[in-house]
Amino acid sequence: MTDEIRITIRAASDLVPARAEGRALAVRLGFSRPDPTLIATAISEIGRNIVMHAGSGEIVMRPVYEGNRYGMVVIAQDAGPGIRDVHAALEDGYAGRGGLGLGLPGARRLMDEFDIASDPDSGTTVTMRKWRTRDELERLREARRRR
Amino acid sequence: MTAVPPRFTSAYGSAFRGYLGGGSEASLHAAYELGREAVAGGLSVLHLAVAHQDALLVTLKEATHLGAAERIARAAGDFFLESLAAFEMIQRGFREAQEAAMLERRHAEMLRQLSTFLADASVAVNASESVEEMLRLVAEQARELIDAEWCAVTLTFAGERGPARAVAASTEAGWAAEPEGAEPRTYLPALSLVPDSGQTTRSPGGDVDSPEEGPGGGQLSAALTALDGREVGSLELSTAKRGSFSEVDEAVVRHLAQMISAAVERLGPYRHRC
Repeated sequence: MTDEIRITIRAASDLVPARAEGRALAVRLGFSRPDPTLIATAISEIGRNIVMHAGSGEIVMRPVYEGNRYGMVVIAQDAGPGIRDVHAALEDGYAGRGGLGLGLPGARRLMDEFDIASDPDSGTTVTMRKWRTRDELERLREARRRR
Repeated sequence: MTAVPPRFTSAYGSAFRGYLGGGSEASLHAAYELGREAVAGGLSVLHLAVAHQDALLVTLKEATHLGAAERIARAAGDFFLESLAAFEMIQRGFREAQEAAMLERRHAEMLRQLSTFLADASVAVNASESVEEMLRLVAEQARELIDAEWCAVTLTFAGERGPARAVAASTEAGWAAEPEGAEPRTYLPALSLVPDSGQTTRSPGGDVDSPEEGPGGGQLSAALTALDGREVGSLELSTAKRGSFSEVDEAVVRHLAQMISAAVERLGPYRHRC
């Protein structure tokens, strides 16, 4: 059974289930407050980007495990016109946001890892990750559960 | 500070009541959007706190028992957290900008210090030791300024002293990339690596098997040129710690190369003869 969650984004109202699923996954993975809020916020911002600039797209979320840490990855994909200058788009003030620090730069700051790939042919893909470290007590609990 | 706009207070109170009624993600999303609206409207986080407290007080008055009051208080915390998220993004952006400004100030100070050192007339007094000292300092300062793993400054001279070169590296890998058999470390055969004078070249990840180019991971180089346009050496950096060299790094390297070239001009006996 896969833990992957897919949400189609076609309108601003679709951000609500995307936020809800992201928050729920974060809580299941053991992220403590305020991380689920930060993750839901980052999902809001990249989802809003899809609605505003591409019209439609998809947000995919799933847990990730890597050695001593685990977390979740959120991937927002669209087949829109792409971002002409990705580097500038990650700076505050791009696209008339007036330097507020929201949007893509805002989402980037809330997550631990943030990558963006964009071109006119294949659209835009934003990949974000948030991690938490497995501490010794948690590892012991997991080992006990598996027995 | 101005008072919280009544429209915002009303909207916040209404959204909070909505959350109390159902506890849904849609209500939390509304909280977030209100926070976003506050940021866009130039309200401060204190305005948001005032609106939140007003909404909380109104609803707490309606609590008939302790359990209900506790439920309201918990819900208020969740709702407030969501509304603050937009301010969190702004605050992190401000911190980033502060760090960038501090780094820029530090770089400007380093450039100023390097400029002062290079311009010091005493560099020309005892030329042999001064060349070594100058190159060593320049290599280390340049490496730190550009945040690179490795830096080499080379002067190409003909004559008694021969070529001169100094390398600075922050890691063993950086030092290990030096050509074997180079004794002493700061004096090595000069390399003719740099193309057109007065220009920088930037390349992405280099080949770690080409030690004469320094460790892999991006390279930046600039020629040192005499007043008459002849090349007198080179400034090379390799392996950006941040992952890659930027256009700003390129501009700084060009500036450094000009400063070093001017200092070399003042080294009298070491004027370029090649």
